[in-house]
Amino acid sequence: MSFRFLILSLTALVALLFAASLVTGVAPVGPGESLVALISDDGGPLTMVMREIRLPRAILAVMIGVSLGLSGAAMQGFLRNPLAEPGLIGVSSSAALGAVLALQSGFAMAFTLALPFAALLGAVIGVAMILFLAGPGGGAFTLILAGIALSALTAALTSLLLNLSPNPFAANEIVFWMMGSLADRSFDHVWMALPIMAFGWLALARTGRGLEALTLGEDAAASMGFDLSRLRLVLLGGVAASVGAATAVAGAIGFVGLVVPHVLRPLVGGSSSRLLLASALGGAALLLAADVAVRLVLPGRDLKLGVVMALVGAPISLHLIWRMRGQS
Amino acid sequence: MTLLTLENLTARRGPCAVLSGISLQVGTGECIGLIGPNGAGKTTLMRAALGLMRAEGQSSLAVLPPSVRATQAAWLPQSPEIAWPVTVRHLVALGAMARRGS
Repeated sequence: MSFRFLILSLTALVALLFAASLVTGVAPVGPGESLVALISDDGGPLTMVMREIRLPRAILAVMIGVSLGLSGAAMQGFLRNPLAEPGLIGVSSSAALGAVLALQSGFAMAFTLALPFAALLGAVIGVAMILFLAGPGGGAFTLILAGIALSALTAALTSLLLNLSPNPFAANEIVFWMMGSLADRSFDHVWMALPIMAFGWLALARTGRGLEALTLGEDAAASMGFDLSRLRLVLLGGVAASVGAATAVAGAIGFVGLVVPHVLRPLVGGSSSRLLLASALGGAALLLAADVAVRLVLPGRDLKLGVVMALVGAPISLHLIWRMRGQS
Repeated sequence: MTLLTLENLTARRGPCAVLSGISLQVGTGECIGLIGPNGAGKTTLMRAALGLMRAEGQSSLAVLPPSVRATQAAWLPQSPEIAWPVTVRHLVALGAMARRGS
């Protein structure tokens, strides 16, 4: 399969699922009618539903899917490990800690975007700690260890907050937030996350050639003239910005960054730079599909996206492991 | 024409000198095999000559800026296998990345 054909098919798939996401919802309206309402300017209730609820939800699904797919491909390429994922360096768990702190302290109620803002702040602090822990010249191994340590620390602090929560409602809210969801998001969330994510996407897009060179190892990449410490800084900055913003608006959504690059890698002939674009589109498609699924399977019950993603992702991972075992 | 000149190259791992005082000239058209038992310092010599590790003494390649050096020397390390299946065409093309420029 040619690379162009792959990209075109993935783009078509994303467009199709985007439309499917727009026409899926609790309101008993046909697909044609709702799409007409989206375009028409009559100010009716259906137009409101389409523009204020479903459109931002679908756009966020694309943005978050792109962020997770792209970051997953970049992390796997950089660490040369097919089991790496964006959460590995602790960005999502530190973002989650920031959000939990905001929910617990009541800061989340201070203004509309206080919760995602706190999560973003958590992600920034997390990445700063990772860079400090792993040092300027540390290799892939140090980075993984630093990420594991940070994830463990933030997870423990999050549990501690839940453990000591004086208010059962706050604890409940925290647990639901951590499951990850795209329900009840607005264009405010889109506008808040978009510039940060876009910065992350641009940074990650620039790592393609360096990741390609890393296929043969760090020495080979260095001998090809690539500055590896600069590559690492750009890559970590990109992952932190895009995944931090994604976690901030939607909570923790796992498996996308792990499964999507893994599934698409054989289709790009193992090329780390081509995988970036393919994975970004694949991530968007998977997230849109999962977000349609949560609304179709249990309509009106607010099934959480992160739960469905884990239910879908875990069997796929098991299948991958099964196949890898067969090869070795 | 001389392609590579090493003068009194010394490389250390901690307090231990792996190479000491290596001098060598490689000219156009020469094909050189480096033979030695495990741990003799063959890889260390290559890495030090390329400037991939710190070393004392002179190497004509190590002093070049990385992007220029990349057009004059290629290094295919004896690495553990590549993390995932890569097509042969793609693998061969990787070698030309530094020369291709953009």
